[in-house]
Amino acid sequence: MIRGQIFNIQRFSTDDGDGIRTCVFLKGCPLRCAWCHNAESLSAAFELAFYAQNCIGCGTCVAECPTGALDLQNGKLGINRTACKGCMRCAEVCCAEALVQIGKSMTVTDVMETVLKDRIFYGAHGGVTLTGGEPMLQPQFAIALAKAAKAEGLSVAMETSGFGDSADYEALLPYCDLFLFDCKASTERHRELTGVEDTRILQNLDLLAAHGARIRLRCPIVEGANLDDAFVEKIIALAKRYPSIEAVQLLPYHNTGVEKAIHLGKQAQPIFTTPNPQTLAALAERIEQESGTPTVY
Amino acid sequence: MNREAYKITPRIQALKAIYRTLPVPRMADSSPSAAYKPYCTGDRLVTLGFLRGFDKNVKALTTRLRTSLAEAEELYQAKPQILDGELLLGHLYLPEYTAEEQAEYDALCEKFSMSAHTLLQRQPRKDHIGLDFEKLLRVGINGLRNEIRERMEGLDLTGANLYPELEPIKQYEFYQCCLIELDAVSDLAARYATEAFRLAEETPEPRRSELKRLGKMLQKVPDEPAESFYEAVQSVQFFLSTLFGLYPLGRPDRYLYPYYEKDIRNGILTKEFAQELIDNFCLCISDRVFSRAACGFIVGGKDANGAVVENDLTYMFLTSLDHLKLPDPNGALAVCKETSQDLLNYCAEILSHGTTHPALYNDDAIVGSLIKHYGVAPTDAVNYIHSTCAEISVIGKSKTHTTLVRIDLPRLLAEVTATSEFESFEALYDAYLRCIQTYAKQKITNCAIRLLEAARIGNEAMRICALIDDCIARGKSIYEGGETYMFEQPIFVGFATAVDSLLAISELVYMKKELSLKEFSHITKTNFRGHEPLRQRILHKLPHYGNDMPEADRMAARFASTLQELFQNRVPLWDLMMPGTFSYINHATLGEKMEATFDGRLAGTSYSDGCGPVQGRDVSGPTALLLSLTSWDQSRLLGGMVVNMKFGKEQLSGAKRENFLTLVWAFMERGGIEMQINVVDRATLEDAKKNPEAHRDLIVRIGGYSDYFTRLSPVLQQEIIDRTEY
Repeated sequence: MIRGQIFNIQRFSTDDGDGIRTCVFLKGCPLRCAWCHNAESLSAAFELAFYAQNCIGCGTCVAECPTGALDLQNGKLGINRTACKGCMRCAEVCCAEALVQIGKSMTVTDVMETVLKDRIFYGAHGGVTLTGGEPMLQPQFAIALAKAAKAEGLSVAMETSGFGDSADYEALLPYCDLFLFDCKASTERHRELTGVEDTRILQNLDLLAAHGARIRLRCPIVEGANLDDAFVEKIIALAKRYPSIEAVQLLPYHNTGVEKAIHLGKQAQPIFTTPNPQTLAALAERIEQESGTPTVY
Repeated sequence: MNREAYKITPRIQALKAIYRTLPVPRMADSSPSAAYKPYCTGDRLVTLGFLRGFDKNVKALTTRLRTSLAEAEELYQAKPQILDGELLLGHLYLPEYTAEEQAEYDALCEKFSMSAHTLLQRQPRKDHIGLDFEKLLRVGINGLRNEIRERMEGLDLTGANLYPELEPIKQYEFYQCCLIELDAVSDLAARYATEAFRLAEETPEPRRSELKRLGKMLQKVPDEPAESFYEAVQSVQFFLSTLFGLYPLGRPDRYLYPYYEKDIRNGILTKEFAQELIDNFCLCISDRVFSRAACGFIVGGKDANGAVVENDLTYMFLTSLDHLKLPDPNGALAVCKETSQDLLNYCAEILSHGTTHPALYNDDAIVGSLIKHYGVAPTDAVNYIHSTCAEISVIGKSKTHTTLVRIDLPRLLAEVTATSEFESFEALYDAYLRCIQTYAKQKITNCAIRLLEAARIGNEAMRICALIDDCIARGKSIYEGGETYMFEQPIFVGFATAVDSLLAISELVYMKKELSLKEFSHITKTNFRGHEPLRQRILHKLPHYGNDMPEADRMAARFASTLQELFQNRVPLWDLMMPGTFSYINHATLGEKMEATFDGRLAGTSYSDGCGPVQGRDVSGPTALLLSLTSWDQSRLLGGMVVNMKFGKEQLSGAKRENFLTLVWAFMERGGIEMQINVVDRATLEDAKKNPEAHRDLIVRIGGYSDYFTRLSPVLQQEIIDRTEY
């Protein structure tokens, strides 16, 4: 049976689609946005996270590590990330949830078992949201999961960067009720800010729109990074062009991702400022007025 | 339902400010059940007036008559006080005693200390009872007096009828007690009327007219039946205020509605004024309630004909909670399948303002359980109330004893495990239950024995019995079986702490056999010193109740059903038992005195609250929590089911509010009994703990009631901070 690499299943999600939803986070992302708040979503491989505040310095992990990547000095745990082979034995024996394995291999049945637990809360609008990372980096699994959820009569939403294979989006269409489709930067600066060109993304948006899929355009707003006139104009143009974009959602930058990267031993991210409410309100008003599409933040 | 948004009026705002400067009745020490220390002025339990009365009437024929004479004296000595702007009178302000009065008070307390358990504490307390205000409004005190006199005259006091129990004499004496007290209430009302007229003379318009109107009203109610909405509210308020106790308002959207509806129809009442009156009414309740106590109302639900009760007053009483933003009244909404989305939506809106009220009660489940498990008639069952906090009783028909028998589940588990080893988990479990049973049996029997004394000395205002069926007809007080339903409500404290402890013992001692019970017990007694890794493992890697984990929920379900069965056939008075997991503040006070427990809880910290999970151990979100909570039958524990949930404001606002309502409906559909909502973030609570002065108005929900955060004990403050926020 096909397996997916999952890094989180979050019940009672109320920000990713309508109603009460269970979000399934698929691991791995082809984009590298400077402001990414899910550092653990980027790599497709399992990763070791270290939450220093939970560590009680018991040293059990040090004794367990086969490669000597861990050492304890003055009660403080040090990790040699290059020596670590990712066997995760340390996470298995850690009693305090200080060392934690990020990522888990699961079947569709495994995931559905959790998803279905909250069936009574889903009502007419709630259901499951596939997100990530980029769920379309694991297209077979994502489609199989969407299909299984649909078969149970649940609402299915997908949050996507749009950087998947067109054929996969087409295959997914019958099983997905709502796309939370990212629009991350102006075409000109897309590669600079996200690591990829937006050509393929725009093609896929076009494809979904042509099929009349329900789409909400999700736009991170990061001052000092993606927020410029060209970006705003791009959002307006897209929203105007495609009637099936039912709403534009502005996602103000927040810096919770900064700490996550540190836990994974990754290079610290740049920190941006959170846009103030007035900036957002003005932006939302402009987009809504010029595109005629409801815009929320 | 038309919901008009009335703003709080300047008059109510001013009154709120005045009331909050008045001396507040206070408990003398940290626990209501602790020995009473007679140095506190203004305590509702014993006033100087009462003590003087008790002293003066030393020649009364019986102690019960003497108690009633003292109750009456309390009112005869009360001085009518009318504050500027008040729309309702009878608010007995308890003055700070002068040095002389305080000395007299202390001396009298000393003098009667021989009766400390009976007289001074007036325990077991009988307030917490919903009185039949519908009847008060219908017949007035005069009507009650007539009914009592008729019964008195009908007594057969001939010698042949007296023995063996002197029953007719007891009845005669009971009626005398009621009359003595009711007369004192009437007298005080008359003096209030006089005072209102006197004040009117020296007060300019428009207040003069208001005072005259009040004076006229007090000449009529509560003695005579009420005829208008205003009179009805005044009558109930006056009767309640003379009781110095936690008697809830009952279901005002039922007993007040006919008066409201008629006055609105006849154009003699505006909705704005009705709201102002209700605000004043609720303000009086709030001011009467001392710290760590509660007094409330319940609205909504279904009536005896199966019709949904949802009218202007339902909304107005809820609005009042929002207007006042005070710990009391402890408002509640009975939610049934037919409750409108609009009403629930309105509740969510009020809750999102941080009011902590109303609590939501599952009307269908509670009514069903009262009928099925407690032998309550269907027409009575629809008239239940949450008494003060969360314990269910039937308005105007029942007596309740709550929190008198507290069963400290984690401590009993510690006792069992400290002394012996057991071959299997099952053997341990059986021994634990036997221990709980023995303890409960002893406590409950003691409680029953105390009733003997209570029955003889009166123990409490007898006049309340006139508003509880069938006391007058039977000639018996609520200590002698005058009431239709008697509920003894023992409470289990630390339910989830015990469940998680059992899970840890089962896993570590019996399944994995990593350590012996004796060793584990020793580790808890030494507060996990040197065993932090084990503690962390228990916290993070072992199952915990509240996460929709079948293994943990099975243990909870098993434990809950065993606790319910305990009271079915092995405990004296079992048919009166209505146990609950409502823990009031006991989860904090008992936890504070308790060593570490098997679930990884450290010594001196709070137990789990109500039937909720151990604080912070529910890590799977509110849907999982609610599924866990309703994975077992809550309906047998009407003695109080408290589910505290803490939400961020945004979850109850805007488009997301619908999700919150979905949670509520799902919880109710699965048979959850009660749910109460705190909307306050952790940062605010933490700041309030550090800087109490800046947060004196911050209200939080505790175990079935609300209180100011800054006046809670540090352990209780931490307990609330540690609850998971969604």
